[in-house]
Amino acid sequence: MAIHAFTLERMGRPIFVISAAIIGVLVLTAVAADWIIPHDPNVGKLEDKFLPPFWLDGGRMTYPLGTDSLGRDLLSRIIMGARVSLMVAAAAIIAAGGTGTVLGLLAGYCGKIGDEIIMRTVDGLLAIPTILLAMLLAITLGPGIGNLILVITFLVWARFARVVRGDVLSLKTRDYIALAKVAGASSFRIMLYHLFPNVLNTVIVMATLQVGYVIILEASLSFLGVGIPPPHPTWGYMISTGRSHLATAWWISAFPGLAILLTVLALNLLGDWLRDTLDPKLRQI
Amino acid sequence: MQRYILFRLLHGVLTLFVVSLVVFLISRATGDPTYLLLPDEGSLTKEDYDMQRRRLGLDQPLPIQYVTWLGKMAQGDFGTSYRAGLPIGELIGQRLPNTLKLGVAALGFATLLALPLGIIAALKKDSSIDTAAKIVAFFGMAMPHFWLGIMLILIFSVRLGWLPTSGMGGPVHYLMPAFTLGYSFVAAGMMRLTRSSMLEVLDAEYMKLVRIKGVSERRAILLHALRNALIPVVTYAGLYFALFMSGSIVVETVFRWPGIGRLAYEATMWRDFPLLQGIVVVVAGITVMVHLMVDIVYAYIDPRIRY
Repeated sequence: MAIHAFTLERMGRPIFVISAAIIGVLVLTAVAADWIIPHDPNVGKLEDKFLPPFWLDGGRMTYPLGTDSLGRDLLSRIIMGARVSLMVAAAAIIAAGGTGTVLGLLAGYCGKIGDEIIMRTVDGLLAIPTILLAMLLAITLGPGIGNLILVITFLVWARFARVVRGDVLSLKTRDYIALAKVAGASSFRIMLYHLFPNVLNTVIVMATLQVGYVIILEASLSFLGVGIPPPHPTWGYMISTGRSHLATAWWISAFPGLAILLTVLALNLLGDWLRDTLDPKLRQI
Repeated sequence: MQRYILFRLLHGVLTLFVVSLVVFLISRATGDPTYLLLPDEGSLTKEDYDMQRRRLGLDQPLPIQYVTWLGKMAQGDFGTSYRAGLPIGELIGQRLPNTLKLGVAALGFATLLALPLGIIAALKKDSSIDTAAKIVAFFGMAMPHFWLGIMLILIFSVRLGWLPTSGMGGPVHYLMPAFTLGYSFVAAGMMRLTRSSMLEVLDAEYMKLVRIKGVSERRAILLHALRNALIPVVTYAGLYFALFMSGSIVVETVFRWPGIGRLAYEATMWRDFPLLQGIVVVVAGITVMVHLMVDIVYAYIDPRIRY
């Protein structure tokens, strides 16, 4: 894919530079977490518990963002939390995007009964509030990172399928598809070589916009105690443990939430930028 | 019109069928449901186990189990919560009104925030107000709602002591939960929708005609543009109401609001599978019905929609 002058021009926009930089730094810290973190995220010193961030009275430079109720370093835990959150979100988005795209292509192109079955399943899944369904699945499957990825995939693929199907329905009536059929191309070939490349942009844009949603979903589930099980430090769980210490140690809840806010904000801005760059027609999703 | 309603109705029923199938399969596909549907008491003897299996009908073939389950559900029999020992229908019935009240309050908040801001942003496109509205929307979408709720408690309850931290009581108890739910779930989407729909209408041919006719700008916007621009917003308001059901789980947990969302949280903590299953089916049913009503209302407000 050659980079067009239009794309190059748009890459100079401050929105892109800032959001890409935030995500870049985040991914790098998550990958290199083991070498960067100043303390062990799971082991604390009880004599250092409830230390405030360094700019407040009693704060120390060794614990830049303060410590929690067990004396664990908040910064180290947030960095490790980034690793877990990003890993879960990336895995779930790839799985959901893949499943949703394949089923969306099938539903849109093959039509009829297959379309009905797939789309009614999509409607059904989208009618159940995501968090409720996730809780139901979490109870039956039990806790674990693998199960959480499975649950999120199960919840999110339907969104991809719906959008891809919509795209395919309008692409299907184009002349080039009719010509491909006349030339004797098989349905499989038409879907893979003629439809898939044309929905790819939509899928990429959606994936970027959905990563933010998935991160919030994962945090909500961890907050409710049905997400990633301890001892993994996750942003949602950290916020939840800080609730009981709001009056004395607000930072335990505040900073992990800020980490989520910053990450999702950057992802959404990047997604918006991508949408406007790749496919200006997509303004509505 | 009748065909359209009938068609939508059929879709709604099909969707509900899929929902019930998904919920049923989740309970059956993940191992032996005997343990799932029974209180966790550790020491079940073989005889107990067999008796319970028969009692729960688990010795029957799957399709028969499904039909029986569906039949009971349709009659409003959701089984008994083994934690509370009460009929599940009753438990849900007690809590549902509180969630609906919170939902209405949140929708009110969202509308008060989103409509004026969206309209002004469209009228003054690319102005600083437009940018401000965009920032408000972006933050609303990126903020985890439970965190927003906790931060509000920190500021307004713990620090300033102005508002109660949790529970349900007078009107002040509604402020923080309704804001949290309304802002992070709806305001952002609704604002963007109002703005884009307003921009579209302002650009339409008939608006040119209205202006040529010499109608004052104020009248043109309030009477002619707004009415059409609000059609999609009104329909979305209905869809957003369904979204509240999802959001209310987290928000009710944070603010200890005695609604159905908190009940779902409690059911999860107790591992009360039948209760959670009942909640999922009821909430999904409400969602499907709201969607159906929105579709029908939409067809009535906008005569261009026909099947």
